[in-house]
Amino acid sequence: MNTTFTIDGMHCQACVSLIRMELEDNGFEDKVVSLELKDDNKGELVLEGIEENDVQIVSDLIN
Amino acid sequence: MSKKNKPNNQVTNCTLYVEGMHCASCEILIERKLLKQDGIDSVDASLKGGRVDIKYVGTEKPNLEGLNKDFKSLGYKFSDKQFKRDITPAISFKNGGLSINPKKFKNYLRLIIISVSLLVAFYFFQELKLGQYVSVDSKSALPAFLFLGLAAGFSSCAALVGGLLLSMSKQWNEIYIDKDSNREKAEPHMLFHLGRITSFTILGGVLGLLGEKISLDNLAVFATITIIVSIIMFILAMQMLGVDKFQRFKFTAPKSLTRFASDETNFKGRYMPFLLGSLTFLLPCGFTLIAQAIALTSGDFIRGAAIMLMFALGTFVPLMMISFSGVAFNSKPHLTAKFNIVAGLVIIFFAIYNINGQLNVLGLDSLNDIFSSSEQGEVVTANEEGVQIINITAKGFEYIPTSSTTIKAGVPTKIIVDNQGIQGCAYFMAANGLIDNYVSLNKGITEIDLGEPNKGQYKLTCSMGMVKPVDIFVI
Repeated sequence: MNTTFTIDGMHCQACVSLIRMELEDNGFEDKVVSLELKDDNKGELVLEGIEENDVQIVSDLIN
Repeated sequence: MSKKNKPNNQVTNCTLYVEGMHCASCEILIERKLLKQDGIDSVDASLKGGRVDIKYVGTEKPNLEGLNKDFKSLGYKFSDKQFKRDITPAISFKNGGLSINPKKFKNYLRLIIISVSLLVAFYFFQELKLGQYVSVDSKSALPAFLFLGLAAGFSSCAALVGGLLLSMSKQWNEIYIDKDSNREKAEPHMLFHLGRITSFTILGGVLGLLGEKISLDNLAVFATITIIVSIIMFILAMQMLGVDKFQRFKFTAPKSLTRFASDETNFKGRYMPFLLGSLTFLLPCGFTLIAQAIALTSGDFIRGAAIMLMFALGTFVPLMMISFSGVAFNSKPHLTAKFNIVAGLVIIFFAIYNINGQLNVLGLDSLNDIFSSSEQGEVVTANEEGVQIINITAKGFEYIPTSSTTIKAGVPTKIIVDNQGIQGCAYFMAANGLIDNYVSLNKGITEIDLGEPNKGQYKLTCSMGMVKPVDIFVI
């Protein structure tokens, strides 16, 4: 099952790369389905097959 | 940024130049990615300088080719030499044809349009004597600062502080998620604004105190500081307009402070919104800078505190709207661009207007000399007591000479001012070199003794230099 995160404050590819790096460093690299910039300084991250407690971990990583 | 476990080996410094950095995220990304490289001990990336200072362990310098390969996909390029700037002129003739560098041409065209628009705006502003209605200085009534704050809250503060508020809202919502009532959920926002208002009041007072210590009651010192602040405002505004040449100047808080502020873990406590709100005093928005400069020039703790309190209260309503509506200009890129152009133009206009006024105060050449030049008239005849008298009528926002303003040097001279209802800062008459600081014009007749003036051309204007100057020729 996929979990989608909406991320505020993403405005450029450097932000995308930073978040991707954080995810990789914390063992989520295989779970990333997509990480894209959206309009209005927002981004969207889709992860697959993550546990319920991973949602909080990912949120903390991004924040 | 450095690795936590530093080895004991010898550490060597090197600097590399980076092309492609455009924001704070780029700085952090480069620092963190470089730190992952073997042998690199610490990294300090600088967007301003377009460079990274690296400390590495051992004798082997980071491999440029390897770095460029690793960072290519991210759009960064490293070099041990500074990257060349685009030196192609905006317009040039090549092989008998006209060649245009579109980027530079667009920039220059924008500058020309801005300059012409501002000159026209200045002309009408001066001719219609609008300065009396909009000029805000340390002697203005306190409600004027409330309106200045209101204007800031709907413009540059909305972009800067509003953006900060929005970015924190998400985090605060998580902390206060267990609260049921809206009142409790509003607590972090209220703490933020309370912190902001408190720090503005206290630090405004400190600025006033500082102004007192550095003798800002001296008009020349006041004028010089106002000119410096206005130049900074001008540069900030040109950056808002996206003018390339001004992007190299950065007025940012120290990196340690921005790192602290950008680390949200520092603001996770329940009362941290108060601290964050307090720190917004240090965010350089154009209008805040104006208010702070005015508080500084007030030269008084109470007055400085009152000025900044009113300003902060003025920004409170618009910022609260942002707090609770979740809408700010910088969440809408197309609006941000439009806003930046409008706010940039307004700030540039007032920066130029301020600088021009202070040039008048200092008796130097100003824009007023372009639009109206006066010539020497007949020399004033000394009266029976051997005193030369210059008669001036002060009315509305104007000083009107009713006698010649050309006098002889070394002869006792007086200016007799008939105040028929002067307004705003025109109440304080100044003439650098002739009058010490300024003279308050009471209703009716005010006699100003100039002593025996030295040769020169002087400008009679108000203490802010906003009243159209009257030239006084001493021959």
